[in-house]
Amino acid sequence: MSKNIGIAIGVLVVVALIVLFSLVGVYNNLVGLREGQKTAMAQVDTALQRRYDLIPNLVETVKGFAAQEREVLEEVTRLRSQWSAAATPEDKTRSANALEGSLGRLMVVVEKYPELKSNQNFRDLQVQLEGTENRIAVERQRYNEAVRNYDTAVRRFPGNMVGGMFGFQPSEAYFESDTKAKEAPKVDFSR
Amino acid sequence: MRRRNTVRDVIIGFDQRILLGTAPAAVTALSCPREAHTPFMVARLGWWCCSLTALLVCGAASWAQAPSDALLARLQPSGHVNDFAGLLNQPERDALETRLKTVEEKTTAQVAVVTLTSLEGGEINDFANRLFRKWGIGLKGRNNGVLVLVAKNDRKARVEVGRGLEPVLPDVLAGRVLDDEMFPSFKKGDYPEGLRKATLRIAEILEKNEPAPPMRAAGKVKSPTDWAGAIIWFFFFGGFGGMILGAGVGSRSCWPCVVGAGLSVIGLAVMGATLGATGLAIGLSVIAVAFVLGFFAGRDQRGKWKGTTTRHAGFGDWVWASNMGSSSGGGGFDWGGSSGGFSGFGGGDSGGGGASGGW
Repeated sequence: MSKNIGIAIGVLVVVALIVLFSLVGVYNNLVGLREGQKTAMAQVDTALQRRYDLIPNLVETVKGFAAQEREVLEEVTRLRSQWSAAATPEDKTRSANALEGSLGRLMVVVEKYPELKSNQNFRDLQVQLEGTENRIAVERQRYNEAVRNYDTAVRRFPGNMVGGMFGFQPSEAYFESDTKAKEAPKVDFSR
Repeated sequence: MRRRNTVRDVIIGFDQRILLGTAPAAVTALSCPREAHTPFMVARLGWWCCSLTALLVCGAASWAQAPSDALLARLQPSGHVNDFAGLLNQPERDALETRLKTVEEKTTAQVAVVTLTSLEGGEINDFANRLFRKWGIGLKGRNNGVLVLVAKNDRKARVEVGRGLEPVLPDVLAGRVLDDEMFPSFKKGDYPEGLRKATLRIAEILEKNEPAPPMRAAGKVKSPTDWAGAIIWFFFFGGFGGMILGAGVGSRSCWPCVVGAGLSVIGLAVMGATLGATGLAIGLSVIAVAFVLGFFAGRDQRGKWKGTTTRHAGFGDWVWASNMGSSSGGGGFDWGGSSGGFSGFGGGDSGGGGASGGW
């Protein structure tokens, strides 16, 4: 009889341990997802930084052929420094979007200067700028995915229990400009 | 990678069943929300409404699938060259495939050439990036993949470069591959020539710039967290299992033997799947130690339980027990070796590098 009790206790201990371990797993998963969100945000910043680094070169090249377009060139330069000075994430997003718009205008202006357009240096810069915009779009999309994964995990069954116990909140911090970034008027470099 | 996931999924699924088993109301609420008509169930349901909302939103999102998403979901790689649009004939395809295999052997970089009739409304940059990720072109961790994507009817092409190759094949160079090699031929309608030239140029750039740093079985490199996770699971299943098994053998009782052997197998499977042969070796030695501990404890127990004098274990018992312990490790576990032919790409990622254009 006592042997059976011993086995029963053993089985209970096993079950309890399995439950405990899976709770630990859920908790660790939530922590990982929350960290993933931070990493994704950092990636977005890296991509924006890349655009930032590209601008002086671009402005200089355009100046060489179209110095009279002072207005738009100055605007780009101004927004660039505004972006780097932005302190809060909201400010950063806003100035990044403004910069995106003003770069688009610059590219329209450039259409008037065939010599500039055929300049190899400028063409390379265009490709780089396009690549940078694409990286920004990719990283924003992934950031949103990271937020979605985390939020889903916090709201779904085991996660909502563990999350409630340890104070995990859904972040809902989706990239506001995601749809805009996807549909941003693409500068067509092909003609 | 794939192997580890499978085992982990099995374990997670297992846990969840047990967790759910402790909350039967939750099981009912989660599995049949539409049948929850009674007030009692509705009250129960309130607690789960958040998870249900999330599930429903997910469900709705997966229903509303754009044609380009459906296309993306359909595409499966059959080699380096995937000519879905049928722009190449067999010899042309084979020539490119051979060339790209050579590149992979020399540099470990993986190049995928994909032709599509249409993107089905998708945007080429977005589509290329998602296809790149879905197929995992390039090795995991090194991200040394390149995707050449051509959409014939959209008249658009893109060279998408994995993060690891961005220094070797920067956007500007990728753009030139398109402008100088591919598009001139495409404009004349000579697709095979354009594809050939662009592929050869990329192969040349990769071989010239990327030396082949011999990397042992890439994609199987384990991060410290994998180790830690596997060892924790193992000590739980394997250590415990070994002890119970030992106790069972020691006390000559049937149940603990079965339970212990089962747990040991699970533990060994986790170790083997995550850490390979090393894991198995570690696992077996830990189980052996646990077994010995359990064995003596069980033998003492047997004396107490049955009220008989303690019988010293004979050599025969020990042999039987160790055989049982070791045979539990070999039980039908799939080592997942890659069989001949194309075994898929290596799980590389791309951060949106590269260039695109139209002709």
